[in-house]
Amino acid sequence: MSYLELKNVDKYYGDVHAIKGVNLTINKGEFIVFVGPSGCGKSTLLRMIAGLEEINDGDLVLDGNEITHQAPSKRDLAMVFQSYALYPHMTVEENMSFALRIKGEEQSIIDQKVAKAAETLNLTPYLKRTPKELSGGQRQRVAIGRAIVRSPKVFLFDEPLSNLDAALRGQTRVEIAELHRDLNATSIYVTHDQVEAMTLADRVVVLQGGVIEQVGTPMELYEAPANKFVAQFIGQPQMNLLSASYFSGISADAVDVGVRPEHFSIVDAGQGAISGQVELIEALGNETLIHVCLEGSGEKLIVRQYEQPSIKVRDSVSINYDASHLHQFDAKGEAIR
Amino acid sequence: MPRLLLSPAVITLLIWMVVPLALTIYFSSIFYNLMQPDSTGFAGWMNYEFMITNPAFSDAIINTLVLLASTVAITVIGGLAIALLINETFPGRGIVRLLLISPFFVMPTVNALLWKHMMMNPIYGVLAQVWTFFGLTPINWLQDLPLFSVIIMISWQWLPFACLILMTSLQSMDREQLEAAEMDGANYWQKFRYMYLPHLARPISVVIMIEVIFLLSVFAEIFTTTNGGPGTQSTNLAYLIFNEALQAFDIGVASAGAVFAIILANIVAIFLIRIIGKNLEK
Repeated sequence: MSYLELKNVDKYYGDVHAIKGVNLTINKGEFIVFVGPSGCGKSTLLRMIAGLEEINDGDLVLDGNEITHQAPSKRDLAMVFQSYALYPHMTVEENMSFALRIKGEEQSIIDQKVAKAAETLNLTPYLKRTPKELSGGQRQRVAIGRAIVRSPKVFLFDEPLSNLDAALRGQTRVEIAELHRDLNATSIYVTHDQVEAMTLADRVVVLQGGVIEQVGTPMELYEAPANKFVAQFIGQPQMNLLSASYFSGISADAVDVGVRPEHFSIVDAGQGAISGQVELIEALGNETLIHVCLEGSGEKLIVRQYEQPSIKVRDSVSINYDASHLHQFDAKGEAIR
Repeated sequence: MPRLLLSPAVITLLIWMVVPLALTIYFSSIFYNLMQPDSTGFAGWMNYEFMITNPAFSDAIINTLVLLASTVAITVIGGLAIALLINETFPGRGIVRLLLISPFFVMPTVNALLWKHMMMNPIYGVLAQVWTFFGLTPINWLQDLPLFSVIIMISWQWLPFACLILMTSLQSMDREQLEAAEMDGANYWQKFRYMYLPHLARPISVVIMIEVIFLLSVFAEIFTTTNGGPGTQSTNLAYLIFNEALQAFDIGVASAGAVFAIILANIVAIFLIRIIGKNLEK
């Protein structure tokens, strides 16, 4: 059952067509992540759902109500901003209760809701502090608390972790995942970080140039990317793309073939289908990435292996591929199934 | 050692302050009338008594405070309104801003003369024309509403200052904060009350501080337009002191008035720091 529905949504900035007819259906309780390179329109799309950017064409339907042109405050959505956008002169408590106070809610109900949200987010000891007396992670939690208190229909997150350092980002990511599990609230989350996308999402929406490239669960995107862009965007290091001539037994339409680094293996000289010279070995401890430059064409690929390698830079190697994990792409870059 | 290195600056400042203060207090305690050179010697509290018992004195104090309070109120409220208005983008905003700021560059005497002759003259002034156009009797501004006229002139001069300071600090307002407030359901007035006003508390304090310093000693506008009159209706303390010193030539009484002016300035300063000083510490 669709809860939030985008129908052919368009956005223009002057002559620039920023969002090009996006269709998307989101179910109740789902955690959706918008991911894509910078400038792909993911934040714009989120802000259009929030009502902070005007929708130039198309419809936006939430829970059966058309909200395309409604004011942001009437849409029953709450947003967590990248800069947190906490009100600097208000205490944590006042920040979290602002929306309810504006609405004229009863004081006892406000206190109860704020106390409950603070409890959930471990903010109770900090209720009387102002934002500048808090650490980055605590501010982040206040921003989330401000959203929770309103019990909105949909939570919107605009790159909420990008201002945190790496360690805190990992920790907060886990907290957001737990929070979503507890509240079971419909959420839309924008990020450029594919780790966040893969770990948090029920479904990931990959955007590029204002167009949805693919929608699917993280594993669908990884195992069956719809096109070359998604194939190379998801996965670290990137999927290798080689010309089809290296492979046998593939579709006649295939122009490029994608192979994930872990589906290549180094074999004894002359035993593999592909041969080349080792250019660089990145030993990361748990895994080793071997960069190989192919003979003849000079194309490059990366092999991931989990044992310590015995080979050295400049060695000639032979490489085999796992034939059951090939991704074939036609001349347009679409996957051939 | 640091004190020694600081001393040239501190000593210069001290001399700059202490010498005129000491001389003022000294003059206020002797008989010193330029028209009566033979009357000299220690006067005790006589000069102060003359000053206080002068019926113009209480009028001058009240006028000074009224002038101060109404000009500050008009410029801060008006400046805030205009700053918020031109904070939105519209075509020609740059020119509008430039025009808005320009009155601040007009000299006080020129400003006063512009208003006196061009705007407020009851026969050929612009305001008189407007009144006549609507079939009303033109107001003789400087005669009938002298203090109010002076307040208008000074407000016109200081409005751009308030506007400029508030405008620049509005630009540092965080846009995401406003969007967050909008999503929280705040209407314009609530955004003004809970977002803009707290953000502007500090610049508003600065505007009030600076304006109070300058407006306690308004002189040029009064001198060029009303001459403090009719009667004492537009005489402030600075003008009264000038009157005693250079119209009545009584330096002693004028100095006593100056001491009162210092006391008044200090009283105002204490209130000011109590009320808005804490805004500046944040």
